[in-house]
Amino acid sequence: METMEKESLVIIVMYHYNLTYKEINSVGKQWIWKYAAALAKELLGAIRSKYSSIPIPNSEVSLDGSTLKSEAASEKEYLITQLRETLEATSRHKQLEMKREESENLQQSLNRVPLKIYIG
Amino acid sequence: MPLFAGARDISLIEKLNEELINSVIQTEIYYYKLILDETDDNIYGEGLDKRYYAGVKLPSLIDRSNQAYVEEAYGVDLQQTALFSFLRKEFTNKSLVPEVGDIIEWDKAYFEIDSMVDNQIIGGKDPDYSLAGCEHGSSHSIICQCHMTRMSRLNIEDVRYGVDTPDYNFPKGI
Repeated sequence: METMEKESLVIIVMYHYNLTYKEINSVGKQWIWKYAAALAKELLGAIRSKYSSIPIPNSEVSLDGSTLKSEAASEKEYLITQLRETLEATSRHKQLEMKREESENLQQSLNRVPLKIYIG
Repeated sequence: MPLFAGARDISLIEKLNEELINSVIQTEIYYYKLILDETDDNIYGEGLDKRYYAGVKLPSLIDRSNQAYVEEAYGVDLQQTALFSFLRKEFTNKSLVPEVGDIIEWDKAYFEIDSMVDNQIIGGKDPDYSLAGCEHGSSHSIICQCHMTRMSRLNIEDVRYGVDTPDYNFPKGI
């Protein structure tokens, strides 16, 4: 259920802003690449965990399905958190807040500039 | 109908095995098949002058014992046993039927097959057996127990030959 929520967040973001892949910037493309890699890893983990060990001639080898699945889950979690933070940081409210901070800081700096000496 | 060990599962297992043995481990041997029709036997039924088909290269997993030096009446003899494990598919791909008495060349030595085990059956079903059906299971491997044999018995390579080189300048005392 939680996974579905995360995946739907990505889809909502894509549809909400009516984005096409071509228009996404390099940072976004990198994020999509990483998320796709995590999904592929999760799928491979699911395939490899059907059999925890595979017979080889005269022996058997254990597969890394569960490791792949847990790695994929943590990578997806991290990427979703990163996406949320990025979206929050670029929201209208945050941008206005940053602008306000910038102007306040500028004002403070200007306040410290010495006034010209007035000679009457 | 069993849920596991279907054709797709067997294909996955075989692909993983092939990748592991052929590309990752990569230990290969030459397999020499005995030509029975060309090998004459004496009055005791012994084939002293054996003939073999040309060697076929096969990937294999090798488990060898340490060399042992055993004192015989004629002197010290070198002995070694080894276990060669093959994917059964490798033999079927090359239309090769392994049998006791065939020769395996590996690591500058020749090993004769003493016994074979064809008993690693995935899912407990061998499709070659009629009651098992043809959609599930697989006979996976062939394991050959071998001992090192003398090169001079085999006629595979010439082990005794001379070189006519009068210009050799060997140090004295050799």
